[in-house]
Amino acid sequence: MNIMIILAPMSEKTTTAKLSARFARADYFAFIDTETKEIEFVENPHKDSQHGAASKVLSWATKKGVTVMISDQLGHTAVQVVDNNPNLTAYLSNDLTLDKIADAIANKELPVYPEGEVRSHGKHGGSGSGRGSGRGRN
Amino acid sequence: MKIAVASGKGGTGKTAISTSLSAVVKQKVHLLDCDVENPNAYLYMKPEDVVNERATVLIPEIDHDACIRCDKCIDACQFGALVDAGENIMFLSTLCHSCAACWTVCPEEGVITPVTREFGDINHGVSQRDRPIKFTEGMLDITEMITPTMIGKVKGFIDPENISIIDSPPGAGCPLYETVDDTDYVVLVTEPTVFGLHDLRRAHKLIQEMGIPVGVVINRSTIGKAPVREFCDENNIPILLEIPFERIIAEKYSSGELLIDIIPELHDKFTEVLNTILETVQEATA
Repeated sequence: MNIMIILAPMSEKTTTAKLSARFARADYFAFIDTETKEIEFVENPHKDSQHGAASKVLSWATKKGVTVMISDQLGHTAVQVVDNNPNLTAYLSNDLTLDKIADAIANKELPVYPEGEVRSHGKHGGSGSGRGSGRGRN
Repeated sequence: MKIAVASGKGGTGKTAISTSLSAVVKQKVHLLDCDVENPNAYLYMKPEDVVNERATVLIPEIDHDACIRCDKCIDACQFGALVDAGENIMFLSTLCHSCAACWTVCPEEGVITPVTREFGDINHGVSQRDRPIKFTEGMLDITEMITPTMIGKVKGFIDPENISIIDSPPGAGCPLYETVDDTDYVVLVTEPTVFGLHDLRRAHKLIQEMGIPVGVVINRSTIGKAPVREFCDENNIPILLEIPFERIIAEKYSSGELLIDIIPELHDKFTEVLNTILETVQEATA
């Protein structure tokens, strides 16, 4: 398969941990390099952002070469961005631990995050009107 | 002079206080409803000759073909309204606060053009009581999230020649900050319940940090046992007025009557509250 970098939200820097339920305000992000199998933990620079944490995280991750992300909960903004970025695919974790994620994606065992579905623990709703190209996912 | 009526907790009676307070002002007075997500002071003020205008903000329109993808606009947007979405930059209009950073930092002429976007209504009218009360309200369109921006638009109609009474939104965050910013006095309306005291503490902390003189009105003062009065004593906050819970007030207020019309004795008490505020502000600015 093609080399890719997977982004996963984490609440602890442990490869045997499950993913954080929160995405944009997770404590850490794990970057998984599918070629080297290396996992790098990076503190979320936008965790305490007052505005637009999800969009800032996704811009930041895209610049780091992320093309695949894992999250079981995405808010309205993240869903809009994912749905409108043809180079970014989101998957559900199926409750796997971080160390199992790369192989599960390679083996096509994880379901794609449902298009347009907001699954948020938060109370904030609202709607946006993104102007992305909306060409779906791979 | 600008007097904000705020609370922290919703439903304490901000609008009940701000409408009656504006009705006892003998100078030129302007009531501004900055509770822009659900403004309802008009139900009590019944303004006439209402003029509507649409509130607008400038948002960026990006020429994706001409964009060189330096992404300076994304980095400059503190609200996350511009996103790296692969081939294109994606714009999330509801996150945009019209700060102009994106088109200011863009190095390519004509790539980001500011265009107008409507996001709510501003209504102007006059309430004809024994003297005219100028009235302005802002109302966000459904799903709009730029509450502070609308509040700023409404406050833009403040005339320094008037005494302006500003009905604030609930909460203790950005909307409250935007509303009370640059005011001369804040009336915090509370009730002696656990919820009322909890949110009073938060709102008072913000107002205190902003250095604005503050007083408290205890509404429905005969319900609840939370130590609101003790909190005021400990923090040297004057209690301007206590209004007991009475069924007649609830019934008539629910049908759109002002407190000072429901309980005529309250007229003099509201006048005393206003005079206390005016004296406090004069002393603070002397």
